[in-house]
Amino acid sequence: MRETCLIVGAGQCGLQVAERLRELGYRGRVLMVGEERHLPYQRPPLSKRIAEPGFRAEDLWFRPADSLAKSSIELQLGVRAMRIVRNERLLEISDGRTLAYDRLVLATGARVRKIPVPGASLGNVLYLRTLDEAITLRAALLRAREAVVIGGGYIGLEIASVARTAGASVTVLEAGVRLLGRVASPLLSEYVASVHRAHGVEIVCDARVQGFQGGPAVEAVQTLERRHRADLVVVGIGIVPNEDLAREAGLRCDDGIIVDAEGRTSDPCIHAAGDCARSHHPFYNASTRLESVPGAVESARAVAASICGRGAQRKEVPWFWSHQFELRIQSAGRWQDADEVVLSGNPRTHSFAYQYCKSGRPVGVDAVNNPRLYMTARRSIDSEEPTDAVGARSSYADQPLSS
Amino acid sequence: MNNTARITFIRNDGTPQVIDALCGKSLMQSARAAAVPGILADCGGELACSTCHCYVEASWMLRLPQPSDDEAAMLGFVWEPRPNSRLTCQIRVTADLDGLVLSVPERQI
Repeated sequence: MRETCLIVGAGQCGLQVAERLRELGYRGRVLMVGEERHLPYQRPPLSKRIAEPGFRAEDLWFRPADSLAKSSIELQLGVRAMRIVRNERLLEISDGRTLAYDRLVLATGARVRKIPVPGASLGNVLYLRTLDEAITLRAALLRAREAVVIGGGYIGLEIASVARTAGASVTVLEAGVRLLGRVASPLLSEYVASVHRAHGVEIVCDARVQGFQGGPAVEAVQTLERRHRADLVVVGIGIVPNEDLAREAGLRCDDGIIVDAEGRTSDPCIHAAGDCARSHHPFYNASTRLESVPGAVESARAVAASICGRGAQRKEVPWFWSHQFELRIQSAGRWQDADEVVLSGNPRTHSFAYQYCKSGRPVGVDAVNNPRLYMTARRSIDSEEPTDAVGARSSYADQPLSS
Repeated sequence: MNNTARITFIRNDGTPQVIDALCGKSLMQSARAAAVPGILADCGGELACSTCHCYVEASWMLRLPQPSDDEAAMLGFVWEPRPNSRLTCQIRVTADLDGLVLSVPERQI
């Protein structure tokens, strides 16, 4: 009988596993189950383009249903995976059926972290992760006059940019001492804050949100220091990996489903990939759970290769991108390891890059509106030839940082 | 009627794949929808990954709008760049592109 690969999660990661299996000539049945009612779609534009006129959900689909069928990729939408019965290789799903598998791939993604304060269930206190949430947020954004964004990470800042561009007054409340504290260097976060301020966004760091007031819709956000009026609140304070299904099946989890270099969990028949999975990353030399499209795509391809017996694939330097106002931010590698920063270009012209070096070797880059500097730096970080690092640096106009 | 343009991708193995690309969308979107092998488009058209790279048939080069500076920068880093390299996410399909032929590179990264 033909083997079945069952993929839990119909996001970009799950779809990438399915497509890669077919590209590699996998002959078994490929079945994806997804909880959302939408065909696999792109998530990144949700926080960047939702307020644009002519935004249509269908434009985010990767492929229409008939195209998936042509590749013999089966899709069951609107069903939730309830339980894995490992010793029988069965998956129970929410419509009461049980699906048999030979290979199971967990691409369950992540869910938003909820804010545990009074008033959090008031109307117009919104989160953004799914297309349905984006459709709700779009309607609210186009009506909003005073928006408060909680969380100064990439999602929060992208939403702040969209809300401000749509005409609302915008306040960003960040619990940490600076914006983008978890992901970007202090240099980049200071620059990003200055651009948001120039666009009229109020930024409050060290903000301790105590609760929301109003009813039925939100009217204000109370922090320890003061009250911020708001007719729309968007909370973007991080995501939590969807690992419950794996954990309840006895698979090893620790802020993510633990997998090896090929994406295998502690059960040889079960793989995991994307936002829900944690593995050793050779670039960080640490156990890592990436929350990014490139990470999801790379781990998905690794899982497909493993299922097809191709062995472990080389991992690339992690990279990210963001759009805020007129800024196209592209980042790769790690600034945290740096003992030196090289600035190329000029932040005043809004086209520049900070390259982070450790012992003279490039380890990270943050570029703004400059794909050339970004790609040059990323290439040199990813290179295993130490001579490349020297070549890349010598082509830079080194400038001492004033701050 | 004229809301699609017939566009041919020459795959790696030399076989042509003809798709009906939607006017007003990027060529990458229609290539992705038709599952043209080798058009990865990881970033979804954000000009962040350069994995939707193709070679435009020479006779068509001058008939396409020139690449933007940002696209040209990214094209410098694709696998085997050539003078006729383009990122398909940056090509907006119009009826004028009916008959366009492109080749998919051997690999993207």
